[in-house]
Amino acid sequence: MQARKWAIVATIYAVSGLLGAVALWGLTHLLSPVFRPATGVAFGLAIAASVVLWIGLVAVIHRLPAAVKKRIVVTATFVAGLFYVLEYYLPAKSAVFFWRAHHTNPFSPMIFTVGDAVSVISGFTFFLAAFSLSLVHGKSIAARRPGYYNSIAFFIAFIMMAVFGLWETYSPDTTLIHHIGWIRRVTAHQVYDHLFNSMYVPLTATLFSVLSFYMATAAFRAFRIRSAEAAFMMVAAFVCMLGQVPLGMWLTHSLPLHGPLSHLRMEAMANWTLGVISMAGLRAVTFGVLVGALAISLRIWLNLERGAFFEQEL
Amino acid sequence: MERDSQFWSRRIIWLLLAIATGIFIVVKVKAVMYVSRPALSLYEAVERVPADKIIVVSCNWEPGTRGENGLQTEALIRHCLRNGKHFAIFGWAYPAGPQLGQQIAERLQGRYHRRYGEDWVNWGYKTGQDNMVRAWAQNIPGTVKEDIFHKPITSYPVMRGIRSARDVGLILEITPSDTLGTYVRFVYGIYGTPIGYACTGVMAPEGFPYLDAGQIVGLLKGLAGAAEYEQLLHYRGEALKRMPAQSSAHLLIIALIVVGNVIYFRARQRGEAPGRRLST
Repeated sequence: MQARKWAIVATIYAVSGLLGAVALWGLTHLLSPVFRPATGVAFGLAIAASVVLWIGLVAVIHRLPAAVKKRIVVTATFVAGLFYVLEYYLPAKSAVFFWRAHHTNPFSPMIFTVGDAVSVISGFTFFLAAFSLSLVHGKSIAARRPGYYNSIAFFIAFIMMAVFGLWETYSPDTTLIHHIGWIRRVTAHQVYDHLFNSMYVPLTATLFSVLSFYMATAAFRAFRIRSAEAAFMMVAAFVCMLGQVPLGMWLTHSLPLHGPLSHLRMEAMANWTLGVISMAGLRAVTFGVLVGALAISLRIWLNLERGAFFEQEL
Repeated sequence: MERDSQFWSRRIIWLLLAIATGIFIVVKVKAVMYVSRPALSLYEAVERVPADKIIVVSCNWEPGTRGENGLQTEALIRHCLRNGKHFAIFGWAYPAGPQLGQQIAERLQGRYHRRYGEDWVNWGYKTGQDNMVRAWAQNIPGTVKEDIFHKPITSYPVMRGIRSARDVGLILEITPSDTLGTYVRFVYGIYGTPIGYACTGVMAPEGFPYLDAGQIVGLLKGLAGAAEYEQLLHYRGEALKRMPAQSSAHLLIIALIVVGNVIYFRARQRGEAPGRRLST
């Protein structure tokens, strides 16, 4: 009974997937003469029409029952996944594709169009991130939560970077200040440059650099030889740390560069530790992680995943 | 009492680290690096790129790792500019990456009499990750479309004949993140385009399986990798200058581990610390 149920589900998936892939293929060919590069007024009109179309579509989807919305998400996920599976796993050239001029994979030419669409969709995730951040920090300011002034700093930084970033992109030579006191002409490009190079770059670099101080205290407080494994790890850490720096290389510089004794040079031991011992362990870990990733991908693709992703009200 | 000792030990360690690294701003020490095989292989791979192909300098890093990735980018771009290798700066993991690469290339191009558009170009940042890279490999002008100055990339002489990943002689992936797999799967795996990897020190172990399998042609490990590359270029740059500071920081960390363990063993002898775990 169970096997029959799975066979029906698999057949439904296969048929709907193939229909979806064929529909996608047909749509691409059908719409490609319509979606040609546009410039000037035509470009503006195309953008406006797209915005209106998508707002309308989102509004319609929003009004649908939860079960239908879920079905749309599941179908879209499956069709998108199936496209990449068919494109990637089917051979680039095969006699099976007899209707193609050089018997090439019919899905491969579409990879560029679909990739373009994915880039556009990914671009929208930035808006989503900005919206989500604004919501979190806006609530923090409204409720005067502890540290709410950090949220004010976020809004100031966010708005300044967004405004001057766009200004710099579209009109970099706009004069913002002509001449006030000792300040000469200041352009949009200069303000953005100052924000990026004198604030964003050093702040990010400082944030990362602070980690080294915590690493030093962690080395002192947490790296204890409590077991044989810990002892091995410490020896490996010493060899790798010394093998990467001139001081470590200097310690064994009297050993020859070639011959059996060269393997005892610090840099050679460090490279051997990284390239043999560490690599073997890492390969095993990577293999395990990728098998896990494959299983999760299959679960999402085939709508077998349960939990927040599909169970929540959409 | 113990809290006080922890408070002060932490601050003393931070002060020691600041002194250990900061002293080399004043005291100049000439560092000499042993060039490892992976760094040499990467250098040779850049040398081998034919004139009709372009090198992709994939700046998938941001200012946080400028100390390592920035200097690697500088050494690699310097090599391309010096030898007249055409290259394109590109990024898809961090939006700031291509902009930082642009600053480095703009600073260096005059020294080697190279020009933007003729010898190098900046494709900017693209969203879409794996799917975008898959499309990019098939159709570079179609996916990238414009450079960072919003001009069609096909309008530049350096882009002449560059259509897909088959026209790319080498991809130099410079990153602190796990992005190498994307190029290996979708570019090397399909088009066979050689890939070089320049990563932060902590990410270096992840590159070795790919190196051993021949899926990447070479590897630069953090700041040390950038210093090795500078040595290969016979140029004493920032990476080589910063190596003494890194040496002394590493030495301090080793000393701290030893001191920490001495304190731990003495405390254990007095019965104040947990004993040995039965494990081999």
